[in-house]
Amino acid sequence: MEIEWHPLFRRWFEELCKTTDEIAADVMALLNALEQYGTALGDPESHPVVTSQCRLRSLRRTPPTEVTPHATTPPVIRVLYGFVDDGAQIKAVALLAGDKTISKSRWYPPAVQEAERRLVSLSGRKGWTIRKLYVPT
Amino acid sequence: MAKGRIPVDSARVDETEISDEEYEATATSQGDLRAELLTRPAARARYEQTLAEINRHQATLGQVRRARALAQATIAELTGMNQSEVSKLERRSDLLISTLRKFIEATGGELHLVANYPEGSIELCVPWGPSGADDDDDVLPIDVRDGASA
Repeated sequence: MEIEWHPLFRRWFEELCKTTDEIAADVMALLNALEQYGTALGDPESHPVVTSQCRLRSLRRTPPTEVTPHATTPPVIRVLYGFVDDGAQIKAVALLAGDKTISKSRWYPPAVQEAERRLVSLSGRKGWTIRKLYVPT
Repeated sequence: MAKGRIPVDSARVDETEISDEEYEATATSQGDLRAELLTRPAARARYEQTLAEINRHQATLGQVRRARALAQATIAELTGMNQSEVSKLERRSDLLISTLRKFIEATGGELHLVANYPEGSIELCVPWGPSGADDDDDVLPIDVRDGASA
C-alpha cells in the first residue's frame, strides 16, 4: 500500500532524524510495515483510535520491546494515520506523531483532532475521499 | 544519540504556512527519507532489528492471507477444508506442518523449514502429511500417475 506523508508529519520526522537515529529508525520501520501489510496491519503495531470520527489508526512502539528488552525509558511513540481513496487505489496517510510518555492517554484528544484536520485539508487539496475502513484486528 | 528529546508536533494545519513544494512531495517522502536515514549505520541496524520484530508479530496466517487479498473461502476451496476450519486454523496456536504447508501453498507460497545452528543453517524436508488424506488426487505420488497414464 502506498503511504502519503502529510507535510507537517514530514517536518516532524526530519526533526526526529536530527535528534535520534534509533527512534527515527523505529518510526520508519513502522511505516515500512504499513506499506508492506496495508490494511491488514494489526496489533501490536497498529490499533484503531476509538474516538476518531475518520477512523484513524495509530502505529505504536511501546518499550520494552524485543529490540530494547531492558528499556524502561521513553519514548512511547504513536503515529496517527488514516486511509483515503484517490480514485484508483486506497492509500494510507501519515498525519501526526509524538511521544505520549508524559501525557499518557491525554496525548490523544488534541492529537486526533489535529490529525483529522490535516487529513480533511490534505484530502480536499488532493481530491481524495476519506475512507473510514473497517479493519479487522 | 538515543537520549535526544522527541520533537513535539503542535502545528495547526490551518495556521501554518506550507509550500506547494511540500504538498507535492507527500507521495515520495517515505522513499526519500528512508534512503537518507539508512545511510547511517546506527539507524540501519536498528531499522532492520525493529522490522524483523514487527514481521514476527504480523506475519500470522490470517495476515499473510489478507495481505494477498484472499478470502478464507478461497483458501477453503483450495485446501479442501471448509471455511470455519480455515477460520479456526488461523487462530490456532499450534498445527500440523502438513496443514501449514497446504495453507501456504493455497496462498501461492512455498513453505521452507530452516533450522539455524551456530555453525550454520540446515533446510529440513517439509512433511507431506498422512498418506490417504481426503483428496487423494493430490497426494498420489508422481510415479503412480505416470504408470496410470502409460
